[in-house]
Amino acid sequence: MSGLNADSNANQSDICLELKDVVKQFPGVTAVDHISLEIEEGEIFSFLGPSGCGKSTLLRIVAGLENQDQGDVLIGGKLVNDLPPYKRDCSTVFQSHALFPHMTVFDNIGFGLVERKIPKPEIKQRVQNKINLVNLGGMEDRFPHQLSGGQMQRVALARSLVLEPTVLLLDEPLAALDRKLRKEMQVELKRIQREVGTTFLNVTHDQKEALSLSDRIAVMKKGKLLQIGTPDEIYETPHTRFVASFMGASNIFSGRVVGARDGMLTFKSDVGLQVALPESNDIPADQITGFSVHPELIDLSPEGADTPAACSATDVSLPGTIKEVFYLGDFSEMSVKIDDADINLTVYMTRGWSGPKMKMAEGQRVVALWSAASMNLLVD
Amino acid sequence: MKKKRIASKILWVLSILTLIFLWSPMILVIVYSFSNNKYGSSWEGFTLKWYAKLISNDQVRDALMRSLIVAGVTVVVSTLIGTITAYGLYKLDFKGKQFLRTSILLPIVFPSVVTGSALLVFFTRLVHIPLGYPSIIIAHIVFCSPLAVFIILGRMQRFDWSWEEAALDLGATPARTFLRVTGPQLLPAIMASAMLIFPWSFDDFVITYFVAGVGSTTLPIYVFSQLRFGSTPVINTIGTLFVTTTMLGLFLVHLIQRMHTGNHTRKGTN
Amino acid sequence: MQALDDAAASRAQATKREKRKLALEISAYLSPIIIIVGVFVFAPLAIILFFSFLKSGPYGQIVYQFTLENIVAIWGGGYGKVFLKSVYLAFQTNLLCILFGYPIAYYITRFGGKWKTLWIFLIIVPSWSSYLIRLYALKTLVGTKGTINTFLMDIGLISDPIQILYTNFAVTMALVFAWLPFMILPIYAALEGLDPSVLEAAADLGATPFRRFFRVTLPLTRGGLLAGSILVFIPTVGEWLVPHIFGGSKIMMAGSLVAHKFTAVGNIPQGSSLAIMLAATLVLILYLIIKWGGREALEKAL
Repeated sequence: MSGLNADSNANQSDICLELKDVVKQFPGVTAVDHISLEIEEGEIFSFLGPSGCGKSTLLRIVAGLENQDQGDVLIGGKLVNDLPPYKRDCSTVFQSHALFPHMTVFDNIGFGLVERKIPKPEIKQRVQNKINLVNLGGMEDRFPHQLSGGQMQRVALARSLVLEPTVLLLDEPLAALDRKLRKEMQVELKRIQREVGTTFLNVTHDQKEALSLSDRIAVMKKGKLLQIGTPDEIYETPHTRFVASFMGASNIFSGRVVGARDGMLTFKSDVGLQVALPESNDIPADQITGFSVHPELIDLSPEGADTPAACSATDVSLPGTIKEVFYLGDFSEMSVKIDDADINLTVYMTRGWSGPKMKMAEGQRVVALWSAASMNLLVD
Repeated sequence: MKKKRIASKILWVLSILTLIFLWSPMILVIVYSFSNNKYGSSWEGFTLKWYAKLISNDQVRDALMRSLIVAGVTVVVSTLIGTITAYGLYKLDFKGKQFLRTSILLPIVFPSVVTGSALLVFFTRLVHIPLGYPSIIIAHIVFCSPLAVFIILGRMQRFDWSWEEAALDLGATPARTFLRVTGPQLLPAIMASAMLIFPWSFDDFVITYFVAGVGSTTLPIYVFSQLRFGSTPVINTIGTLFVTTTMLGLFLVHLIQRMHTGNHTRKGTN
Repeated sequence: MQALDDAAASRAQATKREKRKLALEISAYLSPIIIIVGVFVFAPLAIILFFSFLKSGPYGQIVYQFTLENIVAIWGGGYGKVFLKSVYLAFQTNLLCILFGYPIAYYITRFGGKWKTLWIFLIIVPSWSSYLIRLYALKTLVGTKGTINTFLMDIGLISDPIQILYTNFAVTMALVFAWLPFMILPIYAALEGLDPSVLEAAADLGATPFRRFFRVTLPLTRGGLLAGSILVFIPTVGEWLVPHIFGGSKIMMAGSLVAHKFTAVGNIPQGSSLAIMLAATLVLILYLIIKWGGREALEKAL
C-alpha cells in the first residue's frame, strides 16, 4: 500500500514500535488486516478512522490486552508477542480513564511504581514530578469521584507517564470530554509530549484532533491502512476517495482520464463534467480514478463579473447557481449547483473574503473557480 | 392529579395491611417474650426473666453454640466459594455455562424436604459422612454457596472492569491486580453476602433436621422440639433473638452499601 | 506454500494454547462449585433415583431388587392425589402472592420516596428471619387459644373460638405468609428497572393509567413475576413444615409425604421415589419458567 514510511534511512534505534503483518480476526469480521508499520521515537502518531475500523483493536494488541492471530509486535526492538501486558514496556491511557476509585490521586499515579518495587521516597518524588507536569498540584489526596472529567484524564496520563514507557498508548482519551475541554486537553497533551519526549500512539475518530495533535497520521478503514503521512500530506493530498472525504474534502469527482493535451490530462467525470488535470510524476494517468477539491479552495464570483486577472488557463471555472447557504458565523458553507452537471459543490467562504463583494443568497448566479494546483488526484 | 392521589391512598392502605399481615405474628412473639405470662401467650406485665432463664438453660446454650459454629464455618466457606465461582462465571465463557448456572440455582430453589432427604440418604448410604457437625456443615455450604455466588455475581455485573485492564497495563500481575484492585472493589459485596448468609444458615430448620442425626441439636431444631408444648416463653425469646440478628445483619449490609456508594458516586453501585 | 503452512500451524498451536489456558482457568475458579453441585446435588438425586427402583422390606428396609412398585404406587394410590393437591396449592399460593405482592411493590416504587429503603427493609427481614419461628408465631396468632380468638372472645364478638387451624384455609394463609416477601422483592426490582419515560410516552400517546398498566408496565415486569414464581412456586410444592404445623395430619402435601416416609415410617425406597417424583416435577416446572425468561430476572433481583 502506498504511503508507508518513506524515510527508509531511519536506523534501527529510532524505531520504537514496529508492527509486522499483524492480523486479528473476530467471528465474522477481520478487525486488523495485515498491518505493518514503523513508528519513530519521540513522535506523536495517530490512528485515525471511523468506528469499527480496527484502530482500538490494534492499540490493544500493542498493549497486550488482545492477542493477534498473526504477525509480530516489536517494542523498542524487542519482540513482545508472548508477553502479557504487565511485562510490556508500554502504557495505556484508557478512554474511560479507568482510575482506581478506592485510591487517591497519589496512589493511582504511583500504582505501577509500587508494582516495580521502587522505594517509597523515589515514588514520592517521581509522582510529585508528574503531578506538577500535568498541572494537578494540590490534588494528591483527592479521590477520583471528587475530580472533574479533565482532571481524571490528567491523572490517567500521569499514571502512565510516571512509568516512563517506550510508547504511550492513548485510546480516544478525549472522546468523553466536551468540546472546549477537548481543545484545552489537546494543547496540554502536545505540551506534555514535547516536554517528556515519549512516543505517543493515539487513536481517534476526530480528524481535527488528529491533524492538530499528530506528527504523522495513519488513516484506517475496515482493518486496513489506507494512507500514512504527515497531517498536511493527509489533508492536502489524500490518495483515495475514502481518505479524502473522511478529511473533509467534500468535493469528490469520480471518473477517468480520456485523453491528454498540452501537458494536461483530459478528465471526464461521471457526472458529466470535463476538466483538465495536471499530470503527475507519481501517478500514471490510467490509475487516476478521480480528483478532489477542498471547499475552502474554491472561489465564487458573481456571474458576469470580470474574470480575475490571476486566473490562468489551467484553472477550472464552472458556472452555477447557489442552492443553499449555511451561515456559521466565522464562515459560510454554500452549496452550488453546477450547470449541466449533476453535482453540487460545497464551498466555504470566510468573512475575510477579499474577492469581489457579492450577495451570497440562494438563487444567485455564480462562477466557481479553482486553480489546477488545488486539484488532488485520487487513485481510490 | 386527583386520580393519582386516590390511587396512592388505596395502595398505601393495601401496603400497610400487607405489612401488618407479615409482621404482626413476629411482633406478638417479641412482645410476649417480655411478658410475665407463664405460657408466653398474653400480656401480663414487663419482665426480663425469660431472657435470664434462657442464658442459664444448658440445652439452649448447647444448641446456640452449635448453630453459631455451623453458621460461622458456613459463612466463611460459602463466601470464599461464592467469590471464586462468581469470578469464574463472569469472566469465562464455555459450553455448558448455562447448565452450570441453572444447576447452581437448584439448591436454593428446591424444597428443603427434597434436598434434606436426598442428602440424608447420600450421607448414610453412600459416602458415610457422620451425621452431626460434618453433615450439617456440608449441607449448609451446599445451599448457601449458590446464594453467595449470585449476590457477588450481581454486584460484579455493575462494575467497570477496565480497572483490571489498567492495572495489568501498569505492570501488576493478575494476582496483584486482584489483591490491589478487584478485591477491594468486591469487598462490600463479599461482606454483604456474609451478612446475608449468616441468618440463612443460622435459622435453617428443615434441611438441618434431616441431616443432623441424633444428638446434634441446633437452635432451630431445639425450637421445633419445644413446639409440641404449644407456645412457651423460651420459644418467644429465641424467636426474638432470631429476628434481631437478622435485622442487625441486614442493617449492616445496608450500611456497607451506603458507605461504598458514598465513596464511588460516579459509578453508582446500588 | 511453506509460509502458509507455517502460519496455519502456528495459528493452530495458538488456539490449542488458548484452549488449554481456558480449561485451566475454568478448573481453577469453578472446581469448588462444580464439586459441590456434582457431588452434593446431582449425586444424591441420582442415589435416590436409584433407590426408588428398589423393593422395600416389611420393616421398610431396603431390599436390593429391582421393582417398579414404588412408581406404580405413586400413580395409582392416593399419592397421586396428594401430588396434584400440592401443585394446586402451590399454584394458588403463587397467584395470591402476585395479587397481594404486586400492589405493595408498585406502591413502594411509585410512592415510596425517601421511605423506600425502610419499606424494603421491612419486607426483607421477614423473608430472611427464621422460617420456623415465623410459622410458629402465626400459629400462636390463629390457634384456638391464640391471640385472635382470645381477643375476639374477650370483647364478646364470639363465644366459641373459631377453628382456623387444620383447615385448607390455614395452610394457604400460612403459605402466603411464608412466601409473600419472595414475590414482592423480584417484582419490586423489575418495577425499579422500568424506564419512566416509557410510561410517559405511553401517556403521551393516549393511554389511560389503567391501560398503561396492562399494556406497558405489566408486560415489562414479566421477568419479575417469573423470578418471583420460581422463588415461590417451586419450594411451595414440596412444603412440609407448613402443612405439618397448620394442617396437622388432615392436610397432606407432597413434602409431608416424603418426610413421613423417611422419618416416621423409615421406608427409604418409597420415600425416595416420592422425592424423585417431586424433584422431577419441579425440574420440569423450573425449566418451563426459565424458558419463559425468568432466570436473568432472578439474578437481577439479587
